[in-house]
Amino acid sequence: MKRYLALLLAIILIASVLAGCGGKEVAPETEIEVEEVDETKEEPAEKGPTVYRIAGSKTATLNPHIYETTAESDTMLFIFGNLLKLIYDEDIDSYKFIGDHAEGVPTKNEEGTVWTFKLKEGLKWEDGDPLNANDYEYSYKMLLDPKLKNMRGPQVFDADVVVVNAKKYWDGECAWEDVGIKALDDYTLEITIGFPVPEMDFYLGFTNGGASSPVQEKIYEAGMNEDRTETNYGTSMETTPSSGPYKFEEWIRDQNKIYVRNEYSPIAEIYTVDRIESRVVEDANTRVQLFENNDIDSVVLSGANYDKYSEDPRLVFSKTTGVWSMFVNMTSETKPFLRDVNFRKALFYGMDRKAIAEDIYKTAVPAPYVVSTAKIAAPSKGLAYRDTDIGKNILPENNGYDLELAKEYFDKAYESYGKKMELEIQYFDNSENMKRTAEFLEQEYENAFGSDRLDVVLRGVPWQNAYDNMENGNYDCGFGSWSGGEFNPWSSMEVYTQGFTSKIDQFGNDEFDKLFERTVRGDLIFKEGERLQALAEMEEMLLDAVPFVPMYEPQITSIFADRVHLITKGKYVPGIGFATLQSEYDPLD
Amino acid sequence: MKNNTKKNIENKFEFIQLDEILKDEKFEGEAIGFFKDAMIRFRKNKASVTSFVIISFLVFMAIFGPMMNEYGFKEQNLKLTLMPARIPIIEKMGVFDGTKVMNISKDNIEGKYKGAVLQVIKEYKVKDREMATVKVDMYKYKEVKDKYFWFGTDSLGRDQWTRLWRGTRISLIISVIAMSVNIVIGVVYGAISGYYGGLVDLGMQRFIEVLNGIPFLVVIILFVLYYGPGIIPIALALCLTGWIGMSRMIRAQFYKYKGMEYVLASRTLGATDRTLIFRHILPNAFGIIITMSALAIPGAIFQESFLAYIGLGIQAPEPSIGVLLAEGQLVLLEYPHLTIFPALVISILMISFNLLGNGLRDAFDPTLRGQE
Amino acid sequence: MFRYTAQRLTLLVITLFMIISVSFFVLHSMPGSFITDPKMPKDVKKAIEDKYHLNEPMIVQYGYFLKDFSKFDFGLSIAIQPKVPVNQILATKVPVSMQLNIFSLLLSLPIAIVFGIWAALKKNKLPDHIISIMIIAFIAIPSFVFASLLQYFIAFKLGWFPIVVSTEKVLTWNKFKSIILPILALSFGSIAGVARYTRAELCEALNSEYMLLAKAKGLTQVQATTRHAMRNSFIPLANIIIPMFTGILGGSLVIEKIFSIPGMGSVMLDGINAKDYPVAMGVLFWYSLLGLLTILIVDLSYGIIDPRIRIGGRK
Repeated sequence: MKRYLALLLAIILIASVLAGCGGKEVAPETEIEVEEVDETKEEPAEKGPTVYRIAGSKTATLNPHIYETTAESDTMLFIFGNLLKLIYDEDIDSYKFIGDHAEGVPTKNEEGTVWTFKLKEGLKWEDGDPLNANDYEYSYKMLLDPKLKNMRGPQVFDADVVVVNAKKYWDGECAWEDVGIKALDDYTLEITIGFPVPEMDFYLGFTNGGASSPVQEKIYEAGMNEDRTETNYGTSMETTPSSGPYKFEEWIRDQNKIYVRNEYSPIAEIYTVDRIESRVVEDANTRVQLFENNDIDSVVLSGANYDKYSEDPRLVFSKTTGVWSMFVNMTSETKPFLRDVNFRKALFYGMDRKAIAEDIYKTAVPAPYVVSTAKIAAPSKGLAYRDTDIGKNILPENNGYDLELAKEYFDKAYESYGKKMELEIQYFDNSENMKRTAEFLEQEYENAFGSDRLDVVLRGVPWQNAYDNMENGNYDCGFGSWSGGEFNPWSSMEVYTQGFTSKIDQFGNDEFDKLFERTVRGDLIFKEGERLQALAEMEEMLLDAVPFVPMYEPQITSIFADRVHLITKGKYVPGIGFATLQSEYDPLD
Repeated sequence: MKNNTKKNIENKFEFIQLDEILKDEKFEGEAIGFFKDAMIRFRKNKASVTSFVIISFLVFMAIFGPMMNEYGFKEQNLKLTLMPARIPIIEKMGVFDGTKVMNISKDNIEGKYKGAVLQVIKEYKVKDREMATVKVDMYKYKEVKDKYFWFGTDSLGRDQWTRLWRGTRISLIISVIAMSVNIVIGVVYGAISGYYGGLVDLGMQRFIEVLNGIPFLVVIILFVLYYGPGIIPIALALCLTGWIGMSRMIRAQFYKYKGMEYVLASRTLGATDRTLIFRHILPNAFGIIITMSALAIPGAIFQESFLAYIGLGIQAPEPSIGVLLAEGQLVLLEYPHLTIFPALVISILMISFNLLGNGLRDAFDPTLRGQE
Repeated sequence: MFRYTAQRLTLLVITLFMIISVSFFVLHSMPGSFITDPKMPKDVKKAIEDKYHLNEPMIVQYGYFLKDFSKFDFGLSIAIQPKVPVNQILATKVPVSMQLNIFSLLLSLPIAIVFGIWAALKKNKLPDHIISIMIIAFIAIPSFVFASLLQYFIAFKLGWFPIVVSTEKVLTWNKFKSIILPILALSFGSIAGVARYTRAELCEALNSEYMLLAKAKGLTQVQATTRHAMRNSFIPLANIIIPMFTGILGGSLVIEKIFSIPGMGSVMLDGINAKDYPVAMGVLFWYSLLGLLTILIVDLSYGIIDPRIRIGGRK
């Protein structure tokens, strides 16, 4: 039985959230995997290779068409190339797109629906075979293959960028010739999309290693089974050819990965690190010990390990795109008081977010809002929505904690309901912090509103069930969070629209849906000011109706060894992190 | 001739008690029954008696411990989270004195922690910032010198003493229920299977194998999901497969004894199956039953803590030893007091029940009857 | 004996089939899907699940399963190592755990038996008390505490051993050094278990009348103990020792996690939690088979160790 004791972490690992396109988050602890990745600045190393050592999580697969976890996308950033690359630029102290396999950013036609990439000449796979636009076309064809039914397929038809006929091909309803991805010649790739999108969104669809990276045809085909329904691409070192700045020297499953420079990569020179050693270590305490023992160069700190370092000047914080909230079943059949907006507002104003963020989660920030501070609203300037005046104006005083107001609202709700209310809060059974938050809220609410009028009970539920319950409206209150792309806060609003198929809240507002359509596919796409205004309006609608009570925004706290001189000086850069691979390192002893 | 001899003898011997009626002497002591005999031997075993006293004490604490100070088991205080243990009198000896060793910025010795730093252990530098490892009196730092959290507080500032004893109570209830059910099922099942042997045994053992083969965890998860995380569902979840070990041991005992000569003799004399099972063979397994029962209680507490680890613990904010251990394990190295006290209680329970079990086994062992 | 064994083997196959079948339905009745991306549109999700027949009635899925199962083919993993054959996952993971377990067995069995015998011979004297308390401590303190403490104090603070297991594939001195701590952590539990039973059984045997007889006919205490008491006390002991030998193919979740060992420990659980049915069923099959064989061996061995026990015999 003891061998099951660590089940908790196992669950968390399996449940790890997707990197690129985001999703329901599993537990705050999930987000502890960050190996920032990135590039730049060539520094001729003469004292032997520059080594960067990290501890990460298991990777289930390195097939770019089916991967799911952050650990996997982190690895793919090393070994898979793509048309574009997002790097840190020291001069502007921010992120910048450069051409990787493409010569540079693509050109578009007048309507903005046909984009053309020019590829560099002389590109090569790890084994020296040529890599050109046909490889890209083949990769997309396989990504969307109706028989393979790859999990990452939706990236091309259910994302910010929607390629013409991609969904139809995936469903097996049209020929490949009709799909809007064409290699016009060896060095030209043409993408036709359904509706125009801002440049930033388009670029991001073709940036960094991931689902849109090329796969090597001969290996992909060689690993195919007879029915052409499965391929073993990316399941071992031999079946994972590199097209990116690094390649595998060793990959022992679930234990160890060693990357070395891939001399064929056109952007290899940008990086300072010659060799990356990544060890799978799943136990947080073990990681910290390895760090203190100087065996690894960076570690993520949480809970008690954070307490130990809380005053250490080397701490750096990275932002996350999700705001954890307590969802309230605002259409509850069994508990009519939940339908009363006064009751939900009482929950909102009666929540001491500061205590939850700082005393329970320690590294989180109190968040009485919907759009996380990580979301960039003006990509050209790198300006976060929360830093804009519009975004700031929405924020309530004192992180939305106002007991007097809360009691006022509660009195109203109590009056109209007329008897004692019983409220059940469900939390994920694998998260200790979430349990504590629930216990804390139980005491806070009962004390604030009187335990004779409100009885709070708690229920631990496995996270997947918790989300299922919420989707089916089979709950009173429950914790949850949606993460999404850093650069498109508008499309992240999709989860609150009525058309969203995996909706976990019970919010439904036609006006909201209309605004969403307009900001993502409609007339507001290219109107920066109005689009921003619309985002604020949408956020306000949510805060007014309180389909969920926002609680806190997690931050990931990492610490780097003294030998690492971060090029960003510890500043978190959106889309990049800390640009560790572009940083300077002291040699190892 | 014959008569003669008799006569001669009669002549030589004299009846001395011809007039008295001979009677058996009356027993001077009282009759000693099986249990009384066992108790006599049990009382002579110092270790067992001690452990019995300890268990009684723990049960007493489980009932009355939570009432011994002013804190409630779910009374939180986020200002006083993770306070180290502080016990009056003992604190003077330098342990459980509410201090903690921390790495802080050197400026803070005279700043944030002014007056609370008892001792500077080490000074060092990190990236141009002066740091120091210091021993801080947490109670003074938080300005609650008048408070005593005997076992410290948890991450929500709840008193660990109160939670521990309340948790012990719940764990004991769960384990006693689970143990009793397991023993009854296990003994009956094992006895029938072992005694009848043959086809009955084959069938019954295959049933166990099937039951054992199904992933226990999945069944329990489904069970608790369906019935909710109360005391009874958890206790019953522990019974799903918990009795198998017991039944195996009993079955092995029956295999060992049923072929023995005394059983054959008894059967020849017409003893019924029931007599043979319960009167002749089962008492041989008494030692094992007693030891297993005594061990089953801490065992069930363990199982319960495993369920707590996977989140199927008792409903929050109610504590149990398992829940407390699961919480403590996460911060084992930083805040050991959250693990040490529940681990101590579970270890003491384990040791005591084990010694008690040994003592009871020796006391009840029929082969030792009448011996000292 | 031969007939009995053949009978048991037949039954084993039937039992195994029942385990697999019941487990199949139990596993598939767990809520959730192997697809963890909640933003995936419902129709896409359904299409992917359809590829693995997951939306069909359970009995139909069971039919598909039986078809492959009849060839001992459990298919490809769908979540924990997607597209890798289940049997191949086992083939890479089992040796890692096995290596540790063999060392652990070599270490714990002799120690445990010696401790058990010693405690039994010195019953209720000081050595017995010390050993008993040690045994109980080993059982009572969870292995994660032991593993964490060993790692923290011996590896981290003292630096005698590496914190995590080295990555070399062959058994070098370096590698051996790095697996000493996990081996120790693994061994405590089994030492305690075996020692406790040895003591209990031997105590009982030492008190029995045949020992009196043996001594009466002139055997020394040592001779009587080794030739009579031990042999008898080892019958119930077979119950726990034989499973230890077959158990070397499994892994310990906690210890493997703490020391970063890529072994079997978490495969089954990961499979269940990720709803990776092929892996869960594959692991379940092989381990059930192993478990059933173990029980069979235990049962058969009763007859060998003690001929008086007629296997399968009636009352």
